[in-house]
Amino acid sequence: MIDYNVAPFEVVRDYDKCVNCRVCERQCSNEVHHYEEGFGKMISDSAKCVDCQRCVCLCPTKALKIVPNQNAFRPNANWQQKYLTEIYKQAESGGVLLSSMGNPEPFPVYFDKILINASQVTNPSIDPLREPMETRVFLGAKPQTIERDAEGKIVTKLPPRLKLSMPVMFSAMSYGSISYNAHAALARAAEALGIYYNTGEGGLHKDFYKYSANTIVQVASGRFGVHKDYLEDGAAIEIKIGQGAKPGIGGHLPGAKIVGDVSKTRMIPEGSDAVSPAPHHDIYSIEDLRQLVYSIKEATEYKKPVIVKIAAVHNVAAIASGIARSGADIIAIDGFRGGTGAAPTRIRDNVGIPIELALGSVDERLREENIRDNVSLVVAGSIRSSADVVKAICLGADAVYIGSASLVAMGCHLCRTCNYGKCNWGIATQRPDLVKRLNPDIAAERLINMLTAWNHEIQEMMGGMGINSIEALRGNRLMLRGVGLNERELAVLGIKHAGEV
Amino acid sequence: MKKYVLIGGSIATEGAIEGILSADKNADITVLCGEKRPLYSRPLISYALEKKTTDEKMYFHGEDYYEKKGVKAVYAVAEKIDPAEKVIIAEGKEYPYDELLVATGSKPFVPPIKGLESVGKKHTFYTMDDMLELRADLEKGGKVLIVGAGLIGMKCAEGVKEYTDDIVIADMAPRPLPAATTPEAGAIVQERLSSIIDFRLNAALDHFDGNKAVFGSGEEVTFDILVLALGVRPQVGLLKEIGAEVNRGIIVNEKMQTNLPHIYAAGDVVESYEAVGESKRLLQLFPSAYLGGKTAGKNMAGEDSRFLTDIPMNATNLFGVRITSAGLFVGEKTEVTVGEDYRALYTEGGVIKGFILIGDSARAGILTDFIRKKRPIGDLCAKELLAGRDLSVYPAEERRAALGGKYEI
Amino acid sequence: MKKIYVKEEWCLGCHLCEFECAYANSGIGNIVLALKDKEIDPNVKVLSDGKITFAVSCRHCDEPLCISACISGALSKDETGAVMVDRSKCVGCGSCVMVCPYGAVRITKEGTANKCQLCMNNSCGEPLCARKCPNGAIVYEEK
Repeated sequence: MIDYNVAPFEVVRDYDKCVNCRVCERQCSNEVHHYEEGFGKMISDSAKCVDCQRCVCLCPTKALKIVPNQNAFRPNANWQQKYLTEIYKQAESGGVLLSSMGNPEPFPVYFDKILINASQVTNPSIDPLREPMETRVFLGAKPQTIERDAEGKIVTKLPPRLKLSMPVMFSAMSYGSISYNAHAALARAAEALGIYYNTGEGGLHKDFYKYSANTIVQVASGRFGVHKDYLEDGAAIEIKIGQGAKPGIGGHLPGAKIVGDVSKTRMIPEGSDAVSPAPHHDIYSIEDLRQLVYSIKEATEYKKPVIVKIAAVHNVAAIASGIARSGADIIAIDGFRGGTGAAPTRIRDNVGIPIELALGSVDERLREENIRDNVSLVVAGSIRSSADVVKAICLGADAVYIGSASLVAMGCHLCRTCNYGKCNWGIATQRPDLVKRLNPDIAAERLINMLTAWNHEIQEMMGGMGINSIEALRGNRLMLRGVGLNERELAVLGIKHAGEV
Repeated sequence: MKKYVLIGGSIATEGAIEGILSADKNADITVLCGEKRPLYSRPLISYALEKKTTDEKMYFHGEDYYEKKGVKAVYAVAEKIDPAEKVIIAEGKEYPYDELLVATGSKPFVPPIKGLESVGKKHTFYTMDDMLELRADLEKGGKVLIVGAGLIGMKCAEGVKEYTDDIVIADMAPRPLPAATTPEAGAIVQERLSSIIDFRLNAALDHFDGNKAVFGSGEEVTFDILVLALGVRPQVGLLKEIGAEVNRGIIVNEKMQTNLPHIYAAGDVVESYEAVGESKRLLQLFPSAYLGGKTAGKNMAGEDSRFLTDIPMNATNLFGVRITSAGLFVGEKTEVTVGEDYRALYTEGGVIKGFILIGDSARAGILTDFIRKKRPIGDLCAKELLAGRDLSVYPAEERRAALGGKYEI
Repeated sequence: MKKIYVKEEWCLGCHLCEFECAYANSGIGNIVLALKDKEIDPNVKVLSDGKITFAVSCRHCDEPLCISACISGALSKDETGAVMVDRSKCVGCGSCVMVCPYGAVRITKEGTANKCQLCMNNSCGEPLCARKCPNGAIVYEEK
């Protein structure tokens, strides 16, 4: 058999700097490096390298770098090399191509074509170091009217809400797709920051019940790990209809990863594949969704907000409108750039729409129908920085979910090989020797640091615009201008072009 | 303020000073140094002879040690203890005490050998003065006979080698270091050193005749300088004469108390509890003196302290042959040879009783800890323990506590 | 007194602590020059019981047995309570090695004793192993 595989990366070692400490050898789960005793030097097998950057980061003398393998097929703007290598793989295996993390293809990134305003002469800037800046948000339905008694106390019964110290939450990533230590770090950071993290469809490990005040529990189509205590223990319950990385299909965790605590938490036998079906088999219409929303509310005595999470697809605005009338308190929309532990490559790369456009159209539609206050909108699907957060809020979001960004904060280098389960950073793996590498004390501190920094940056950007609360920023499309966008794009986003007043 | 008087100015006294000060910071301490020198380390005398250290460095905590510690040093020989009046009489003066430590150490034993008085240059090798006198004779040249192939005789030989290659070491025993090694280990040491040292073993001295030693076999050895290293005797006189319980040494309990109230003893002069044989005996070792002295000091200052982990120990490097041993060589013996190194482990009742290592001694302290703590050897393989050991042989909780948190020795 | 503590549940057995220790005590400013083509003999050693790994270095005991056995005064406690080695005084008798229950002190090929001195004897000032451990398995703190 001919080996058609081309190693995508090449390990380049500066032998003048290499001191044979063998850290690269000890820390590579793909067994790329080894010390050749007879020759007294380190040898690297580049074919196995996935460019996770672990060895580069740990090398004490910075002797390593990973570069793209310059071995090139004949240039072809249409038949790019990746299409060829993917066909070679399928011709060899007959299998569906699987990928991890979010869509890497060069579709437009709208956040990078949107610019934020700043105040100059009129409506001056606010100095966030001197003036109070309100970054707290409350997620949930907003009552149409507020009634007060004689003393001025509110008598209207307020629906259940989530209180966030800043408009960012940790997105759903299941225990099984990521490690126990990663969950521990997310839970601790959520508690310390005063925000929430999401269990994803893997259930909630009993060690994390103590963080229940900061936990959103997810009920996905496979209903893994869903039992009475699980629902009781969440601060909110999220019904997952879809996920940005793989709209229309369910989740898949291979049996090899269903071991020990993962199996117990998901409530399925060890070694069995955890395949979530594409639809919830009890939701075949919007009325069915309303029924499930209210069943959950009944079961939890109406004390917890219910979130419905959908992927951003073509008629997302109509779907959102239906959900806003179903009794859900929060709609979470996941754009096509969203991450995943494993998804079929073709679906990840070709299905769904950008979150920026989805958000613009959903927010507009709900306002038009006068039901915008029925729900809060939370968006996800590649929020990469505090600037993306601000732009999302201006486009109409109440808050954002961050998935990939939190993993990156914990050490992920987006090598996109999570599906092999050999994550060198201890994040997307269940191997105990690898999970060890993610010390939750360190990882939680990194998450807290990142979001503290983002919060500060958000305040700076808001202050620059002369705005002092997220509430005043939300849906404030006049604070945004597009650049390099056409008429249609500007219309969907609901923003003007840069230069227009 | 409590008055502490310490008779003797060597290692046990050093330990006692540390022990007293740890419990009674403002203690009034007086040391009666019969040897009339500031604190120095006796084991260093052979190294000084060998030029591996200097005469100044023998004062291993500095010549001003007593001043630094706020201790009054009196260079006088203690002559009598009056336990009723609680005073010491030393060279005409009286030194009152509340608590007394007797750390008078030992003296080289010189048996009444026929003709010894006819020998010109004869030496013992125990104190700094002994070393200085020997060095003075060595500098004039000549052949050296050392009688006694124990640790002192052998270390002396190492120093003498700096001056002459012409050394004979004689001993009644069939091998060198008879007390410090096992027959197998001693044989290996002898074999390794026989090209450097002229050993006359199984040689019992009969008499001297000027510069000639004559042995029971009839063998004769001529020499210019004689060193007698035939062992040491504890200097028990001061306490024996006032009715303390004395055997070969002064008997003390685990708090280093003699049977006389307010009188403690420590160091080479005592017979104290030895943890492997679980009985009292003379140990006469450097760490035993220090730790025993420290225990005495703490008890003298009112803090309850017991010395229950004293074991025989020996670490030395003789002409490049490293010998490390601890405990007693009793029970079941396991031997291994690693390269040129001989190693033996002695176990009884599932517990390590002793070990001896010739050559590399890396992490030997782990074996010593097993002996001292009487930790069961469990599933550990004796041969593997001898080949090499590290913290992974301890139970996991002990190791985690030792590395991750507070741990008691 | 701040000491080095090891959290063996986080030790990855990467051995970076050993190389950083050798670098810290090399007296050479550039890490490549300090380590290139050298056989290292660091004061911290990564050991294993077959299942987990852990780094072992001097515990700077409150009542150090090594000091009680040292005949030359080479081992002593400084004002902070750290156990320091004055190699110029050491005569290589090996008594310290014989008593240390952790196997943390050794006789080097130069024939004198050496062990961790919390990087107080080199220009790092604070233990480099703790600073460079990638997973927080070695910490330098007060307990």
